[in-house]
Amino acid sequence: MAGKQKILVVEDESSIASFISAILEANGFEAMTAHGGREAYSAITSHCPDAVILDLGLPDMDGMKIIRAVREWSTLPIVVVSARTHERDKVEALDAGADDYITKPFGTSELMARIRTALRHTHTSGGVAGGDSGTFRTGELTVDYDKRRVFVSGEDAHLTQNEYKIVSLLSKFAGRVLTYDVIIRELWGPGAGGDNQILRVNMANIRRKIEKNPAAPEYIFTEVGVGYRMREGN
Amino acid sequence: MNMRKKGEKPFRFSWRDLGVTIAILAAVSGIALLLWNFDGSDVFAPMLFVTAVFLIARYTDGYLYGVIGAAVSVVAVNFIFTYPYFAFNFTLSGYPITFISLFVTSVMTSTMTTRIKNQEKLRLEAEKEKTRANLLRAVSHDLRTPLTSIMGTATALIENGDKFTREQETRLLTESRDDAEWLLRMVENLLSVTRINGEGASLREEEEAAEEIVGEAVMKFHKRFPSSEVAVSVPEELLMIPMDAILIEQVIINLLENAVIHGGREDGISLSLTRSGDRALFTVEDHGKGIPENRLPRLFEGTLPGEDSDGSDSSRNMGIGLAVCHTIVKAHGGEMTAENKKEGGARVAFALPLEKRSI
Repeated sequence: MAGKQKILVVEDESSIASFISAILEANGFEAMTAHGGREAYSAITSHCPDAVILDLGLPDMDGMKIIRAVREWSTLPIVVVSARTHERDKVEALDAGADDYITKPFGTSELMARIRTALRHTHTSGGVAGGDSGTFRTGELTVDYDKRRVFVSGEDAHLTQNEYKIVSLLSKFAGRVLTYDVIIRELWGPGAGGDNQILRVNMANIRRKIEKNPAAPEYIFTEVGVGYRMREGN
Repeated sequence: MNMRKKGEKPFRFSWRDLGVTIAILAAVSGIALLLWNFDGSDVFAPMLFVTAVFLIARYTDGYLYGVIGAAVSVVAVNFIFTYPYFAFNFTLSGYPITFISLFVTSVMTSTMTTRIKNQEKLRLEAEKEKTRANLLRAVSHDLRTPLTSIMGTATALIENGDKFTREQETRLLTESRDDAEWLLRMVENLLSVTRINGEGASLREEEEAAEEIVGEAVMKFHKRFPSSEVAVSVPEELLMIPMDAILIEQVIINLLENAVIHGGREDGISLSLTRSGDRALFTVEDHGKGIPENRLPRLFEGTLPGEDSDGSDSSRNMGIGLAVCHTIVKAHGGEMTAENKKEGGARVAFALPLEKRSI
């Protein structure tokens, strides 16, 4: 790829901004920093970064506002950084159009994984990796979009229609978190709303069919209070 | 602090108390009318209304309803139930005596009831305050050590950085990172406790799939202790538990970390989720050193670390961690137990109710 990819770090604490920039630069990215919402928004419009790392607790402008404003005209990948005290905000941020989130404190590898996944998803058409044909593989798990079946170590997992839909949806966004609301809307339509009990029950059944130990999942991870994330493809 | 505001407002209005007052008065009037129609005598009417006033004062907060009850009773007894019927009688024996006796009954009962209720509140508050003070003392004592070591390392590297070998530097920095991680966990624990004890704060309980919380907790634990081995088991049946997921996850992680840090072994740890009646039981077992017998009785109280004779670094955290776990579990209406297994190692378990509690 010609030139380094530019990442904008929006963070009001300068010590945190500087260590995130250091990690990014050590991993071959070009890092820019902005300390407030207004500065961030003008940097996004004038410098056109390839991705944004956005802290939700900004002093001057609500991070949520930036996400909504950017989403009006761009699919620019946004990874939200949240602290433990903003647990509920991250769900709102994801539903407002953020691509993923990472919770403080995070390690280098975690941060880089999130950014690479977010960058990859926008570089494939429509933000979806793989269309409605072909296969997705991660570990011993194979999702066959043509046959509409899921195989574990070559064996058919015998998923029901809904279970297959959930797994295939997660696999198309592998590596990225999908909120309960997004999954429910995708499966049962926009009217389904609110109750994610059915989804939990479906997920429990899926885990009993595809995981060796449903309490130590290898393929589909829970993000407590947020949603589910499938392991990255091979 | 806020209980004082609540408990000592003698004339606070509440719909519940008004309802209780009306119900008791209506019931007593009904009985009196029934008896009166039955045999025409009126001697029991004042007695019935004294009982009514007593009951009102006992089952409502403050003085207001007792006094209202007394006033209504005086009118009712005087107007309806004493000769001349359905007319007021302002003779000495008819009016003031009944009124005074009813009034005294109401005020005395209200005073005693209020005092008992306040004492109970004070006692609970004092207990909470004690736990909080213990925790604070233990924590501030504990925070000093890692902070000192981080500062020392940073200063050493800034001032004499060129004199260290690459390995020494890595070792120092790794220790600093571990210390910082420990500090962060401690602060998270404290945040959880303030979330429970905080003014007006309550748990954000939602139905959660217990196995998902267990899975997530184990995954986070593995991030911190990559070489540890935990055998996890969950039942075939999906257990949905009303809980604050973040807090329960923290309890599980704390227990697993204790197993490694204080048990002294990274293998042979097991975490199981089972159903026992209307409760879900989470059990963490290890094959480590076990819990010192002298600490068992007061394990959940957040006792001061450093009371141990060895005074080693590994003794920190356990007191606070377990006290926090205990507080969280109790706030969920659950129970927590800790014991040493006969075959060696410790077993810490907590049970959470499967059904939402009605409060």
